[in-house]
Parts: sequence; structure tokens; C-alpha cells
Amino acid sequence: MAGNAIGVRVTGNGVGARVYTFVMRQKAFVAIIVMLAVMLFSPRHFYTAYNLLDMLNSTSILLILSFGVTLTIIAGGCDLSIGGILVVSGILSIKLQDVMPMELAIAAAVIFGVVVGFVNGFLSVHQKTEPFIITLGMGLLLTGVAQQLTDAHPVPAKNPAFMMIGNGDFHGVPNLVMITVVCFALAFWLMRYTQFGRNLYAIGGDYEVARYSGIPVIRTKWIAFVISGGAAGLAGMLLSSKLNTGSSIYGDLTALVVNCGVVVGGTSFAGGIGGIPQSGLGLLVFGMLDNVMNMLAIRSYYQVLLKGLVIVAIIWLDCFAQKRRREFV
Amino acid sequence: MSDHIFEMENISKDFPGVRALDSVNFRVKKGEIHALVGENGAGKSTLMKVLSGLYPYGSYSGRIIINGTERHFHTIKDSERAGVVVIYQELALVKQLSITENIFLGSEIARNGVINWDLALVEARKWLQEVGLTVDPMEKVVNIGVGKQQLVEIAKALAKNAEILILDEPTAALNEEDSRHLLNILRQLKAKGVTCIYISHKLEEVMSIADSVTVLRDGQTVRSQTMAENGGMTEAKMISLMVGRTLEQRYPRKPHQSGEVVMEVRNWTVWHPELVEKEVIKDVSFQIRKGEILGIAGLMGAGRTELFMSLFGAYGSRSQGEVTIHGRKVDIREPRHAIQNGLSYLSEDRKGNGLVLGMDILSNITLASLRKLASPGGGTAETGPQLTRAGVINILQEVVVTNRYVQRLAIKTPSIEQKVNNLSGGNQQKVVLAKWLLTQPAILILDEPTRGIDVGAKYEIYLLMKRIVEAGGSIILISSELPEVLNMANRVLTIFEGRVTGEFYPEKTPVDEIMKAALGLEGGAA
Amino acid sequence: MAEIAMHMGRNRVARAAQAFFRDYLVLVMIAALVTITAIVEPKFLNPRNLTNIMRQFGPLMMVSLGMTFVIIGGFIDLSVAGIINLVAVVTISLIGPLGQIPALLTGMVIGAACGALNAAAILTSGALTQAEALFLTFGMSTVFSALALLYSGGMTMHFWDIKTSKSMFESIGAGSVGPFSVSFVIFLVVLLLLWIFQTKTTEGRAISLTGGNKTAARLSGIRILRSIFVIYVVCGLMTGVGAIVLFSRITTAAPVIGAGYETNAILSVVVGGTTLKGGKGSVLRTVMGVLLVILMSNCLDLLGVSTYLQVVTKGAILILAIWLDNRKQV
Repeated sequence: MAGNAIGVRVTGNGVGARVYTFVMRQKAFVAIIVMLAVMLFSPRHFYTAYNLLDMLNSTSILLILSFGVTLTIIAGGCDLSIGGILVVSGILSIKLQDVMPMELAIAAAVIFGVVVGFVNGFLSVHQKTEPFIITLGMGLLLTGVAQQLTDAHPVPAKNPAFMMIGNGDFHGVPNLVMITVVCFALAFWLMRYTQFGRNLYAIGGDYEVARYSGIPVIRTKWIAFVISGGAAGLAGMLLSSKLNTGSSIYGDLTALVVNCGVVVGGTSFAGGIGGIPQSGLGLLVFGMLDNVMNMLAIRSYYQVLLKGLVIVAIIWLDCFAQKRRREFV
Repeated sequence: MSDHIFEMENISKDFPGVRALDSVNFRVKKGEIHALVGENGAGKSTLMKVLSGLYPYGSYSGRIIINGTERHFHTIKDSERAGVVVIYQELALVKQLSITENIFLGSEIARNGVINWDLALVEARKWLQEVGLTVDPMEKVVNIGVGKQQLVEIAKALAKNAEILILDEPTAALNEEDSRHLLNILRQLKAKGVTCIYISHKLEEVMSIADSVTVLRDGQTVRSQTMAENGGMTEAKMISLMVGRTLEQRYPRKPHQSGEVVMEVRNWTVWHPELVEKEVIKDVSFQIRKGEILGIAGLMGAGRTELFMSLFGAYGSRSQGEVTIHGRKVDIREPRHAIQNGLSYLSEDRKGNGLVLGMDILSNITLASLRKLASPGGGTAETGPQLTRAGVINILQEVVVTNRYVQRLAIKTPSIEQKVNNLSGGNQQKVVLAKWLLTQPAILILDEPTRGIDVGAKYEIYLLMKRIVEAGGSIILISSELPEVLNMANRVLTIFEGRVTGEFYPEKTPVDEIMKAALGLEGGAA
Repeated sequence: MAEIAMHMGRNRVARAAQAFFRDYLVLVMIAALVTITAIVEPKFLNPRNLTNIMRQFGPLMMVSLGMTFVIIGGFIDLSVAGIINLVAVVTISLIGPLGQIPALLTGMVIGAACGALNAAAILTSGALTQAEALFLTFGMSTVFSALALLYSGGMTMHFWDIKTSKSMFESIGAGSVGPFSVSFVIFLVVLLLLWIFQTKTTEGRAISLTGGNKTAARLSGIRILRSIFVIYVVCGLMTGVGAIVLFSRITTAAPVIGAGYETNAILSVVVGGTTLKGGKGSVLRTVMGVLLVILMSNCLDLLGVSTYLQVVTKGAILILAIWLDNRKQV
């Protein structure tokens, strides 16, 4: 059977091949089914409206982050600074309320994210530096900024109206869920129905072809980073509102989890494929994983281990899938 | 002239060290299918890149006149706006996107940035119908065959309201049926008033579809006429115009050849990396003898590189067949094994595959030899004491050996610590050559060794080749420059679409026959 | 005529100066920082401070030296923090039951094994780019850290908890050999070994060739898969050594002890002049890089800059260094 230099090939149309392709393409879907199945046997109350809504609520922040990040990954880059943006904008949204009205503070937090995204875009696209390491450095830098701003103590919010944003609900549906749905719709429309979105796919799919087709590649990819930063700014503000504090500790794993969630959902790091709904599904896998692990009373250190293993497995699978399409030499 | 849709007047273009186009005149009448033929490197693509604006106004001399007005194109979009659309040999489609998306890539039907997909779908269907494609416009490009992809490209061009359609080797990757279909589409387009420029090596297609033909050779127009003029154009006439008289004093006298068989290949088959069932090389068998230069001729894409890269072990297990070297059967799965068995491969893409650009000459020349000479008894009269012992490099010896090769190959550099990316193309090629010579191969495979190199350096390389075979080595010379192959090789194999179509002795066979075999036409010995 | 010559001469000097600044901008910046600190805060030149600096060499140096090979090979390793966590908690817990030398060796083996796991993950998945390696090792870091947490139960172990002798580790942490600290001596020995490996062995050469151009290296018969394996094992091993030096110095091992080491290590390597693109670099340069990073921390401490702002500065310098490094290559 013909193979290539570094790996195996799946040939033919046998059942094995079909299953393999399906699992690889629908990783998120399969993972969710597996978890749902496992939970059928759990004694705890997984299948309750309260729990499911709660799960959605807690994943909302990650979802909003993922919508922005998806744009950069589809365009062939990535954004690991979102954790840093998240915490700093969250802190800013609270601290700035001391000197300006709440609405302005909120706007400032989002604008902060936009500015950081602009810088990321400048370095990654215009200057053609590797986005993964640049955004990683940026995330680190911002984490330091966050720690400096808070002196490692969480900053409590004082304004009850602020707290309502993240915790209130409208006829039973949490605000956060509604905001997430709106963001989802917006991002989805952007990617599916505008030239901008289409161009991102082209740029990620084949940069040179996109360039030759007259697409303004630099400008378009740059904007993807700006949007990702802005989404992170928004998410940070919302998180602070939900927890009613601005803290610097949430950034660390977030960037990795979100980027991985996007990949799980079917958007590959190679770029050019995937989309908003897929990313949403991918992030839900992680949200569900947390919930499921809690329900199954898995001890917290094991949870961390399991999550780490899942992340490694996902990226490994993504690389492995890429291997089929890319030959060495 | 008013019935010319465009004229290119006195177009000249230079690249460092080479004049690609030399006062080329190219005039095409409105509504005709005009073929542009010539060997690889004759200037066809360059001419079209000038026309399409890829080489913008200012980077060439001469005039481009479209519909009576002189035009200055600065970007591809400029030429597209003038109705000129190029369909490249390497398809410009984004494989993961759908047909509709690709048809309108970069020129979507949109208002204020918002795409009207409904309208796009309708329009896409219209254009697909024009080219006779009955596929779902929402299907991803990667899922339809190459033949259909080619048609999608044409639909894309039509959607841009192309008046002048340039097709560069459009049927290179197509089978019989798809090719015929494509040609029919072109005839239909002609009936609708679209002018086509048809660049192709497939001369029988040219005969069947073209109204006029222009032959380029060495960057100059050697003939431009309608098919009917001058007693009618034939394939044979085109070939002789393309090839010209090949014998000039650009080559050293050919060495006499042949001792015993050093390598034999039997039933060698190679599969495509992605299209798993497709064979790129089909059941090839041949031999090479000691002291011989075996030339490999054929079109680009015929499979010459694939054949020898696979024999060299670069494609892992994607290949199958029997290889015997010095009478012993060998199983080569990695370039490492090949090198151990006395093979060396100087690849086409020296920058990508042959050199580590950021490193110096010293490291690059010894690049392939560290391992080999590390084995016990690895030192030879050639290199003196071993370069490495127990994994430790003898740097002094490295320097001595490198200097020897720099001298022998006349590599021009102030020092061996010069980074190779600062060298000229010719000198870079010599570094790669030195690298392989240092491994003392029994069989040296050279893939386009003189591409992009000036005439003087070329001659030096030819002399080297001669010296190598006179000393008992064997060389496999893959080249798209037919004169080079004919003048240097003792024996020539022609490859077409993955098969050996002929074996010739250049002294004894007329050029035309060899050319025909390379083009897959009837004839050809063996 | 003479004017033109003078003008050209001046131009050439100007251009050379410009090139120098561009290449060594970070070096210049840190030199400036050191000078300013020495002036503003004379305590800097205090012998105790200088000794302190020398002592800080150990852990970061080991990790950075290991990281150098990975980067020269064209990859990256973000799992070092996790490896440090794991090696530290396991080794310290084994001093009592197994004895000092076995514990030491076990620690080093664990480090190397983690490196091997990294390599396995990368090689089996066919990941051949730096970005893929980044994500994979980032994930592995989480796994290693989680293992450290599980093994230690989240508890920190101290030297005073160990009832048997820990003299060897104590001397690694605080002992002296003549005028030099033991850790400094270890550093010199390790540096020598690594330098010989990098410059004089076939494998060392193979690693830079792999980093320079994988395809050309493979087509020239280099075993790139083996090189990839070696760089990660070396990095894991060196990180293990670094972990041992670290907990010996501070006499405790908490399962989060390695936090931040990956960025500091990458920063040191890049600041030292080894390019992230791979193929070129040297352990000697990394030594300079570590020195600069440690000096910078020291200066900023003395100037009263908070730890957090130091993190910010390091992030900024990392970005700056990579940006400049990228421009240089193009």
C-alpha cells in the first residue's frame, strides 16, 4: 500500500477510511456525543435546564473570544494574546469607573482591545513576524500589566449597574447568553456574507492566489487581528462584570483553550477552512468538558491533567490530519 | 491595423544576466485563436506576463497596444480591466472554497462589501453553462477533477468579461476527453468573439485548433503566420522553427562512453501524493552504464523529476519497483540510503532543496559527506583522512577539502566562510555540485543543472561533467533545454506522461524525432 | 574630489554605526540600563550584589542552554516550565527514600524523558513547523504541570522535611569551590560539553542544518527525525538539571516553581542573538543573553521597579527582539 515518508495513508473507500475521515472532520460533534453519552449514566443532574443554561452561560465568555480568534486562524494566523487582553480590559473597565462614567469605561475597555489588536496586526501582518510568538509575547506583556494594575489583588467593582450587565437576565435568559448570540450572529454574517470574510478564507487558503486575485491581503488580515483584539476587550469587560471583580489570574490557560477549541471545531491552524459555528461547537466541547468533569466529581488536579491531555490530543490530531495533505519534499 | 485586437511591439525584457525577450513582435487578430509555441525558456511566459501586467509598465521596453490605444499596465487588475485575463498553468483557485466563491474571487458581486450570494449563484450557473460544466456551484473545488477545475478557471475569466483570454498549457494536466472538451469550449468562445492565445507544447492540439501561430526561440520571434500561409504550417515545421540549429560551439566535445551497467531500474512505478490511485510514473525500466551521460528529455510535468527523486528515496514508500546497483538489489527508502549506495541528486530547486542559505560555503559543501566519511575506513584517496571520527568533526580537514573543491570548480568567493546566499546563481550551483562530488557518487543525477546560469558558467559545468564521466562516473542529465541534452548526452530517454517513450542516440537520430517522442507523438525507437 | 571621498567615508561610518545599532540594539539598551543603574544606585557594584548575580546563573542558564538547541534546530519548546515543576517535586521527594545520587539521576532522567515525550508527540503527528511545535509543547506543559500537582498533592516540600543527608544538593545550591560557587562550576562544565557538542560533532552540525533547511538537509542524507528527537531530549535534560539547581538554591520545591521559565529562556536565547528561524546560533551567545536578562532583572530590582512591571518589560523586549530579528533576516 502506498504511503508517504512520514506517515500512513488512508486509501480507498472502506468503512475504516470513512469513519476516520468523519471523526477528523467532525471532531467537536463526536466529542459532544461521547460526553452526552457518558453523562447519561451519571447520577448527577446533568440533563436539567438549569445545568445546561449554566453551562452555556459559563462558556459565553470563551465563545465571544473564539469568534474573534477564528478570524485570525482562518486567515492563517492565530491570536494568543487574548488572555492578556481579557484581564487588562476587565481591570480597566472597573478601574476607569473611578474617573469616568460607566459607559465610557466600558467603551474604553473594548477600545483597548482594538488597539492591542492593531499592534498585533502591525507586527504579524505588516512586518510579517510570526503571529504565534508575537501574540504570545503580547499576552505575557499584558499579563504583567494586569498584575501591575492590580498589585495581584482583585479589584472589586463598586457599581451595581455594572454587575447587572454580566449577571442579569431578560425574562429568564441571561444577558450574557443574549450578548453571545448577538456576537455569534454578527460574526457569522461577517464571515459568510461579506467580501471581507470571504477574503479571509482566500488569504488563509492560498495567500498568493488571493494576492493575484487582487485581494488587499495585508489590510484584510490586519483587520482580522483588530477584530480579535476588540472581541477580547469586550469579553474581558463582560467577565469582570460577571465576577464583579477585575483580576489578573484568568489569562493563563485561556488563550490556549480558546485556540484549541477553535481547532477542535474544525478550523485548522493551516487556515482557509472552518467558520464561526464550527468554532462555537468546538468551544462548547471545552465548556462541556469542564461541566462534565465537575459533575463526575473528578478531582481538580485530575481535571487539569485531563484538560491538558485533551489539548495535546486535539492539536496532535490536527497536525496528523495536515500530514495527509502535505508531503515532505 | 484595425483588425488586430492587440499588438505587442518591440518588447524587450532583461533579467540579471539574461535577455528574456529581444524585440519581440506579437500581433493577434480579433476573434482568432492564436497559438504561441516555443521551447521552455523561449520567452512565452515572460511575454504573457508582460501583457498581463504582472511585469508592470516600466520593467520592459516596447509598446502594448490594445484596440488601437497604447496601454500601460501597472497591476494585473489594470490588464483585467482592459479585458486581458490569464489562466496559468498552475491553477489559481483556492481549493477549499466552492466553485462560486472561486469564480468571483476578488471580484465578488457585492454592494458596500456585502456579498449577494443569491445573485452570485445565478451568475455562477450562467458561466458554468457557458463552459459546459454541469456541477453544483456550491461544490468545493478540491472535490472536482482537474479537468473541471480548468473549466472553472475559464468560467472565472469569462465572469471578468475577458476579451483576450490567455491560456498557458491548459491541457497539460488533462486527459484526452477533458482536453477535447476544452478545445470545443474554446471554439465556442471564438464564435462569441473572444480572442484566445493558446500556449502549448502539444503541437497536434495547436494544429487542430489554432488559426495562427507565433514561434519564439531564445526570446525572439522566429515566425508569425496564419496556419494556411507559406504552404501551410505543419508540426514538423513548427518543431524545426522551435529548435533551430542546435550545434554551436557552446559545448565541449562529447566524451566516448560506456562500460558495464552500473544501475538498472525495472518496473518502477510512482503514485501521486494526494490522488492515491493515480500513477505519476508508470512502469519505467532503463539502465545506465559506467562512463555514460544519460540525457532525460521531456516536457515539464512529464515526470522526469518525480522519476529520479523517487529513485533517490525522497518519496518514501510512494514508489515501487526493482533497482539494482552494481549488480546488487537495493531498497532505497530515504535519501540517506541512496547516498550510501552511490547516488547523488542535484535538484532543480537549488535554493529550496540544495543549499542551506544562511550557512557558509564550508558547511554547505560538506553537508552530505559528514555521515559517509564517519564510517570506519571512510577516508579515501580523494579526501585524505576522514572528516569525522566517532562523531567528531575534523574541522581542519574540512577546510582543506573544501578549499580543494572551491579551486577545482572555480567558485568565485573571497573566502569559504562566505554565506552562500551572497553568491551568484552560477556559483551557488557550483557549491551544490561540489557538495555532491564530495560524496564520490557512482551515479550523479543532475536536474536542470544550468538553469538560470550565464553562458560562461554553463560551459564550466559542462567541462566538469565531461571530466566526471571520463574518470568513470555516470551522469543522468535531466534538462528542459533540448540542445543541452543533445550535445552532452551519449544516450537520451524521452519521458512523456510518466512513461519512457523512446531511447535515442543523438548522433544517429534527427532532432525532430526526439522532439516528437518527448511530445508523446508517434515514432521514437525502442 | 576630496570632499566626495570624505562624504563617502562619513557615510560608510554612519551606515556601519546604523548596522551595529540595528543588530545589537537590545545589547546597547541593556548596557545603557546597567550604566544608568550603576550611577543611580551604586549598590549595584557592591560585591555582594555581583555574587548574587552570579548565583542566579544556574537554573535559567541550564534551561536556556537547552532551549538553544531546540531553536537552532528550527523548533521551540514551551514545556520547560512544566518539566521544571515535575522534576523538582519528584527529585526532592526521592532524596530521602532513594538517596542523593539516585534521586539526582532520576531527576535528570525524568527531564530527558519529558523531552522524549515532546519529540514523540511532534514526530508522530508529523508536525514540522515551529507553530505546531509551539502548541504541542504548550499543551505538554499543562500535562507535566498537572502531573507535578498530582504527584505532590499540591504541597510544597522543603529541605528541612528531608531527614537524610542532602549535602550534595545543599552544596549545589550554596556551596563554593574556591572563589567560585558550585553552581558556577557546574555551569562551566556543562557549557564546555554543550559547546563541543554543538560545534564539533556531526550531530551538532546536523541540528543546525536541520534548522537551516529541512528539505535540503534530508535530501543530503541528514537524519532530521533523529535531530529533532535529540534537540528535545537535550532540552528536557538540561531543564531537569536546571530544576535541580533551582530547588537546591531555594531549598524548596513547589509544583509551580517553574512558572515563567519558558518565556525567560526564549527571551535569553533571542536576546543573545540566536535567531528564532533556526539554523544559526550558539550556546555562547545564549550565555550572554542569560547574563543580560539577569542583569536587567537585577537593575530593575535595585531601581525599585515592581516585579509586575518587570514582566511587562520582558514581554516588550521579547516582542522587540523578535521583531528586529525578523527584519534582519528579510
